[in-house]
Amino acid sequence: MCTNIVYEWLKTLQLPQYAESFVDNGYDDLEVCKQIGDPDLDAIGVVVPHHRRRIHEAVRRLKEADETVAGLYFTLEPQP
Amino acid sequence: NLLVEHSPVGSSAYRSVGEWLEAIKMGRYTEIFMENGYSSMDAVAQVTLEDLRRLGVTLVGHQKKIMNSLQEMKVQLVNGMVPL
Repeated sequence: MCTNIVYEWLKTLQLPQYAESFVDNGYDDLEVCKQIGDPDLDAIGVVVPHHRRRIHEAVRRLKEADETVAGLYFTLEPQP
Repeated sequence: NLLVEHSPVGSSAYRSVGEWLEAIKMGRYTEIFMENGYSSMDAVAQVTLEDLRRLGVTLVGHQKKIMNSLQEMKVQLVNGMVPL
């Protein structure tokens, strides 16, 4: 099995120590990570406030990246 | 590698709902399952995402984990019954 995408994502956030717990709790791809809020972090066991903040910000960036792509598809739609 | 998922096993490999939930690290839901009538692996096999929400499994990661495991068991059940 290749390296998990969530591990890579957490590594870029300098929080790779949580990777195993993320995966164990079912947060094993970025689609499901996009839905992370406080209850999810509680279950995963991220208790350090600035770690939580860093993850919340990263989740927001994941969602924004989505919207950018959606916008791109919209502009590429053929004109009637 | 700590991230490698445990090798998939069929529903017959689990003797009880509790054992199954412990195996996928969702043991915290064992009591809820038992109390709501999902007390055998046969009953659990019918669980839908809606059922999980109703049982109070609200975390999307946990929903994903449980549904994936059920799906895996069903696939193996089908493969086991169809001779190759």
